[in-house]
Amino acid sequence: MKKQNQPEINALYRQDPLGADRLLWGRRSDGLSRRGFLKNSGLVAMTAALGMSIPFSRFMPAGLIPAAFAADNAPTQITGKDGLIVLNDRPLNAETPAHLLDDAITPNRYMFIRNNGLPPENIDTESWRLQIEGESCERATSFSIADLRSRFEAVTLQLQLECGGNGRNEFSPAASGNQWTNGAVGCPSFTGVRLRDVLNYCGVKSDAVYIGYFGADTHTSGDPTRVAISRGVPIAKAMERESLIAWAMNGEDIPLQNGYPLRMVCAGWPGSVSGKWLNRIVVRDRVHDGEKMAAPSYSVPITAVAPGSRVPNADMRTIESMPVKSLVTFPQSGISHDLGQRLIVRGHAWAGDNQVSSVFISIDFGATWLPTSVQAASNRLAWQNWESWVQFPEAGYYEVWSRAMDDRGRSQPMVVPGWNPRGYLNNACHRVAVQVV
Amino acid sequence: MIDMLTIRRSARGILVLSAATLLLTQASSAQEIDSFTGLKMSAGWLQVQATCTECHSAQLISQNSGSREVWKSRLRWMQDTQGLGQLTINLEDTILDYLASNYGQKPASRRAGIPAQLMPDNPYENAQ
Repeated sequence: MKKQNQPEINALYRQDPLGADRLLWGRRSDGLSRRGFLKNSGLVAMTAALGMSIPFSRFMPAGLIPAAFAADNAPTQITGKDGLIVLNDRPLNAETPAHLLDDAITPNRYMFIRNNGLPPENIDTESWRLQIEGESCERATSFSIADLRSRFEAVTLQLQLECGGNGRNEFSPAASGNQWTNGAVGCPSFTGVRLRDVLNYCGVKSDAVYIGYFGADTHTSGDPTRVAISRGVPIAKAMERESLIAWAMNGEDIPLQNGYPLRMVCAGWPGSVSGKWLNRIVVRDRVHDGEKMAAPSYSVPITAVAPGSRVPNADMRTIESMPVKSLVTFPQSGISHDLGQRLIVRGHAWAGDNQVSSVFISIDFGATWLPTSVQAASNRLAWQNWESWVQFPEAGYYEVWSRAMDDRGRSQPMVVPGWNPRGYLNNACHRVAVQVV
Repeated sequence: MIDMLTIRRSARGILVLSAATLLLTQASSAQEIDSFTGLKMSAGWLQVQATCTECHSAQLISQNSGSREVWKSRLRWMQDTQGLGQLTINLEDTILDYLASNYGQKPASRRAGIPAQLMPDNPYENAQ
């Protein structure tokens, strides 16, 4: 792809982010590199036919373009990311195609991005401070990152983070927000200190109910008095051994878009409870009342509602532990497969605060289910890897479906579960398409 | 292996060309898309651009859908919680009309099929 084609590609991308973007980004088989696709004259013909020779949007910061097409070999221009699908460029929201989540431990480049505001700029880790305070904190204290490292035990845990709205695009009527398909999930390894060690050091009063975080991101309106997001968790969740204040992801600095230089990680709950660019934690004597704590944000109806219902905020509750879910990360949807060969099928499964007890796959639209081999989690709140294989009985079109069950006997539905106004918690079984030839 | 690559490349070409045809059809039927924002350029789009992209990307509009009432509730939420000011009745009507007619409610479905871009080559469609 020559450089002068860059504006056309960008225009195409701007035109239909959900459709065109995926069309452009997807690698439909291992044999077909993105580079190969770029040389396809069809794409050039398309942009040329549309006459789209257009400047960048003034709102598109450098680095958010599907840049495999722009730079010679650069897979993407989101710094440190590769192959993510951008749903929204301000605030930046980008998900990972399921087949790129195949690693047991999600690499930094494949960790999805869900921003509510704009990340801070010119970050100085030396002067970065984390303030612990609040009406239920006995001794308000300010820590540097070096303080955290030197005063508390460092722990490394593999922890699963999933956006509460992952799967939103399947709800009908459509629910407001970023139209995530199924890639707003990942399970990297985080290194930091236990949140409870830091909280206990500062003293938690007996009337403490909740903790809330604040970060250095700014509201997209540019209004400095507005907070982009400030959520949190009940004290019991904050005090779990796996709740961290982390400074590293997979042994490296946390990527900027994932919260560099410091973030909370409270896994198994909507990702939004795990504050990024963390600079303040408040210990509250009531449920935290920060931005996007109240319904309808990250909330679902207390009782099930018919699709399209207008539900008053008073009838909503804040989402806590996320439901059981699984992904098929191999094979990639859209492959053709040789009838004579077994097909390895594998992926991950997770279940909020719970464990996954079993994962089944079906190649006949749910008529029969085959067991898979499910590994134990590397630690609590990490996803679990599963694997199996299938031998297709004859040529034709198949869908491989995966359905996980948690340790309380709850499994994934095959259709989209309970509609809710903001489109959270779609844990319908994952489906990949295979043509057997 | 080489054969497979060739087949897949040509299949991709067909896919891209059909997408181009679709977009061209849209462009020629008063559904032209603004290259700057990605918004459909029908009545009201300039007001939408001016009012909405102050705070967020136009992609947040184009990836969403809903009835006029649904769009109205989103607008109210932005006014109640995100610092969007009061709009004149005329402007609000223009914006809601635009959103409801260009990004209206999607068809009801308990679960749609696997998206086209994730589907394998269909031997029946490729057969000559």
